[in-house]
Amino acid sequence: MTGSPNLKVVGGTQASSRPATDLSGLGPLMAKAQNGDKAAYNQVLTACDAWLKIFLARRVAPESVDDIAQEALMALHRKRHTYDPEKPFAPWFVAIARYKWLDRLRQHYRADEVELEDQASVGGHESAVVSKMVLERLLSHIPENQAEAIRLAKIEGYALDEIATMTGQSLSSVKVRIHRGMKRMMKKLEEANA
Amino acid sequence: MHEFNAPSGGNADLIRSLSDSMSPVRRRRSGREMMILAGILALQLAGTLALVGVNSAAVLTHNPSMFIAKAVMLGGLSLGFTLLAFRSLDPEAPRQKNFAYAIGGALLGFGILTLDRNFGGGAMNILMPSKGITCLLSSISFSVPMFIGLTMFMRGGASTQPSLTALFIGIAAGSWGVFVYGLQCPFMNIGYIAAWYGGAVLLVTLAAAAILPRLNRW
Repeated sequence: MTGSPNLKVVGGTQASSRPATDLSGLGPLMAKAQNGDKAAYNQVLTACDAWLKIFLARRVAPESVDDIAQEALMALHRKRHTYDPEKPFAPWFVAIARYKWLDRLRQHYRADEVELEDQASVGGHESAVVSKMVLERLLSHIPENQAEAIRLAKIEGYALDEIATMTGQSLSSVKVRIHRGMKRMMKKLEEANA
Repeated sequence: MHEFNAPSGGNADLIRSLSDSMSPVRRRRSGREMMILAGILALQLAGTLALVGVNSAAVLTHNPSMFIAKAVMLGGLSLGFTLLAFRSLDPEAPRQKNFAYAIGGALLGFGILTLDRNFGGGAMNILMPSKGITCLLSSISFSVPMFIGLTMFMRGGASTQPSLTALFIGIAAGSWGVFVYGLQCPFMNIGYIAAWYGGAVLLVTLAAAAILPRLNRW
């Protein structure tokens, strides 16, 4: 569900010819970059950027891919001193990329919480960070009544009071179901990516 | 040699800018950080023992088995959770929850089996609030060097599970504080230790959980 994308993320220490989306063998280049080699660093960032584009394309809305990829590249830059050249590069970078992706989901979830408190419509899902595909898969892991409320709000775009009327539940009950369902989905995502 | 596609979209400028700004970096080494922390704590311990060494000797002489058991339990908790905290500073570190339960459970179980389990004389006689408050506050103050040291290392590390790292740091620092205080504390009753020592660890852990995730620098 939320495992690695269909890309090579295997570790390695030897540089070799490979596609741009293959993170293996970047360890020696990153080690050179840590010693100040700008060309090596450029190659590492370029390969990571290409990998991120594909990794994120399956997880977030298309308009958010560049933003999150930039955040992940900035995170790599800020934490470049924490890479240990004796270990494979791929798990180190993938962990950072996943953290930034989940961080963005958390921010999105919190923004939704505020929106729910304001009792505003929860439409505008075109700009949502969570892609419909990922959301649908996550919904299968939470109780049906919570999944239904989230589906109506996040995918169908109904307002909370409309969902309450449609489901015969009180407004507060709908809010609680969406809140609990979102929390469960975040937990599932974090566990799956731990 | 490698063949990479040129970066596309808005990230090309970012990559160029980051590459141009690249200069040699000093790699993070957890072994070096552990040595620094050990040095700080050794100084703290030496200073404390210089002040209360007589009391510690008296407590040890009076009840050596429980003194040692208490020190092993608290020192072990501190050491175990410090190692977990350091491990969690690697981005790819596993969540380590099972290790945490195992270390905590084993050492708490050891403490329950070895410390004084006599509950006669009433709650006030066991808890001794006037002394307990001193114990609580002193233990919290003794935990500060460890707390600050681990916080600095957390900021320099790359934890992708900041809440869990904060819990590990809180338990490690809190346990260290009660370990140092416990070296001159004559009370060995499990109720007293659970209330005041446990309270100190709990408060330090709550403070860590509330503060540290916000200080995690990404």
